[in-house]
Amino acid sequence: MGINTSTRIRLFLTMKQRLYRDALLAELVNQEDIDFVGESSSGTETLGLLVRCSPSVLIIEEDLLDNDGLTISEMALVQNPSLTIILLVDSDISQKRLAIYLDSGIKSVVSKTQAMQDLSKALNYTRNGQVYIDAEHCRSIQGSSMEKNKSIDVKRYYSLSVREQEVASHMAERIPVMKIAEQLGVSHKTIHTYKERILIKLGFQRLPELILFMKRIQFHKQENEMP
Amino acid sequence: MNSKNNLPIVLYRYDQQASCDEFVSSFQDDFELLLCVTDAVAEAHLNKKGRNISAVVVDQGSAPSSLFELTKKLSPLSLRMFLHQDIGLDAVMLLLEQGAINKCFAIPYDSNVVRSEVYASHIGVSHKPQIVSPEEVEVRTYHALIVDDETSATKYLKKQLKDLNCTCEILVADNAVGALALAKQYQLSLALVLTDQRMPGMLGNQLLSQIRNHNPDVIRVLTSAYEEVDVALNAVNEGQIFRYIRKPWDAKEICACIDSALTAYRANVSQRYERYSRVSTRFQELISNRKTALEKILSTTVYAYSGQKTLDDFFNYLESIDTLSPTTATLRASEETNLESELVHEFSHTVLSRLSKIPGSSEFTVTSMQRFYEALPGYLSGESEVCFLEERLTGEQGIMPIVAMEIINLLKHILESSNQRANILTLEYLNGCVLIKTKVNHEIPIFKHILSAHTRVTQQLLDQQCSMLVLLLVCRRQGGDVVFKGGKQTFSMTLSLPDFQESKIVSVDN
Repeated sequence: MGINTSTRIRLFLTMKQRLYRDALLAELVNQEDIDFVGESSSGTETLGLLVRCSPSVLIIEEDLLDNDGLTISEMALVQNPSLTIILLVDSDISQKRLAIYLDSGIKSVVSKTQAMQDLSKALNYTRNGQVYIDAEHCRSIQGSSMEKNKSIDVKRYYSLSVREQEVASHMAERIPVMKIAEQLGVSHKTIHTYKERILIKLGFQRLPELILFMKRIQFHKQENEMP
Repeated sequence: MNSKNNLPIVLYRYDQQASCDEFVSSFQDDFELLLCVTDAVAEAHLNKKGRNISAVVVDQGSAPSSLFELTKKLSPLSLRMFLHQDIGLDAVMLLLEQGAINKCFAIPYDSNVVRSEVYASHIGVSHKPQIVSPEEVEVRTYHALIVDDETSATKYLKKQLKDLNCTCEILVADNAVGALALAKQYQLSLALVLTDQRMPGMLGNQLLSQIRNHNPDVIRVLTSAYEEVDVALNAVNEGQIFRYIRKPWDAKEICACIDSALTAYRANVSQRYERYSRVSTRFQELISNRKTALEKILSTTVYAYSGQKTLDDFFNYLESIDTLSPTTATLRASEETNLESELVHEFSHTVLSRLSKIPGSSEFTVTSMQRFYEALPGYLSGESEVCFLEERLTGEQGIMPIVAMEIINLLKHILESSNQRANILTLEYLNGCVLIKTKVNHEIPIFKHILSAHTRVTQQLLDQQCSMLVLLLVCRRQGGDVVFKGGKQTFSMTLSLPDFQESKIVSVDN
């Protein structure tokens, strides 16, 4: 099934700390189908602004300085039942708690230990008001969140062919396409095809995401002395 | 919940081995799979595991209704999903009419969506709207709303339906704006909305989505002159529609549809009443138990501290505040997690620990009270931060009146936990009393309190609620009082303390 992406997302973001809010917004406003309509650091202010900004999606942190994200979400849904809400939680939550949150009208829960792509996925899948549960919440992968993320990244890296891995590492070093083509003895069109395929396979939209991903893979390889 | 490693059990019925391999490779980490190449195997699994099965996924050329029927019978809460290849509109309409499936996805399917749907079914997410305070009204005439921009067609259909003695009174709108207005006007009697998909301004499925948000029980029917399988499927998957009807309309078919829609609507309303009544009855019991538990731990200390039944008064004040209503989610939190014991323990513990820091012997002296009153206007106008206030309250002997500082801190907690500042308070000297009051139209927002429904215990809630009780206790001990007056998700506060200066009536407006 393809998600109906015709409707644009009108995004409102509530996070108490400015730095994190800025970082998240910098990522999200880059996405073509997102209109950023408002932000806040507090719960009661959010409720006031929602009426004025009429967003379609609210991303809200669980712990705020006043009230908590969940209470504010419940109030926001009383005001506007069609609002899609994604709750950001500090760490992994149990399935039981997840069920309670979703039952209270939240459409998706994303933990701050998850990757940016997971939040993007949640935004995409909930845009038409559907509930979305990420595999992270239900798979019983052993270990800490950090280890889980690493293991997922490594798995994704090895889903690339050897040639794609090679192209990805050149791209991550910001080597121009023409130069990569020259080094590998292929046409620049072929490199463009590889580039497209790599981004699709890894679920990235932009080069900076790939650069960060490849840096992490590099650190992981060094730690584990992998080829 | 019901299988090894707590993975959802998924019964997968397939024809092609290649499809099965694909499904297994996509979901082997996520589900415990029961792979069935024949109906007989699938039925045996259903009979054996029944309600433990989270989802039945059929990946065949055509949807075998018998398997879905059996699932409905043996495991009504299981998700019924059909993975199709080029399904026709007739088949979608039939599946809808039979109520056979919950979800229908085209192959190649998006594994994230399939996984999410199965997980949601596994952990029991109800997808039901959380409106739990239905208005009790006796509806004498039910209405059906027909929306289409072809006004001659709707006019004719309305007349035909009247001639057929249709069970509902027919309302007609020729655009989405008019339809939304009528849906609002007839909110309590509107049983069905039938809308054309292609209309100027807003598509039919978008209109149904908007109406559903405010009329959650209303039965929704989509109609179109075009073979819009995708639209029909999206509407099915988004839980939007009851039927999909092709145009041109057949009045008899529509009349029969309205009849069955009315039955379904009444069932929806009655289920919601039952759900609401079950939630509120159970919630009353929970609150009564919560109050008893709090009294058991706190009453002796509270009585000893203020010499009055302050706890009863505090509970009465809270109960005058109109907070968020209980829902199935909050009930679930109270019943399925340790929320109740955590709430009672954390609240009592915080109150007792705060009281222990204010010794009973710690009382205002005339000098300390004077310093307190001098410092108050600065604090209330927002000019002095609490740390400067501490300096100001500390006298020549370097002793800071604990009670004075505690009152300021308690006020600060109450205000900050609602994102308010001290300048919403006003200070008055009246009839030998000092009054600190919330200004008119500056009531303090509050959505939940210690006697309301919760989904989790938060530090902000504990801070605010403990501060309210301790402030009441401290003021009463000093010969004053605090009155909290409830409003709609707000409260106002009047704190009174005896004026040691015995001042004349002065009003300090911040």
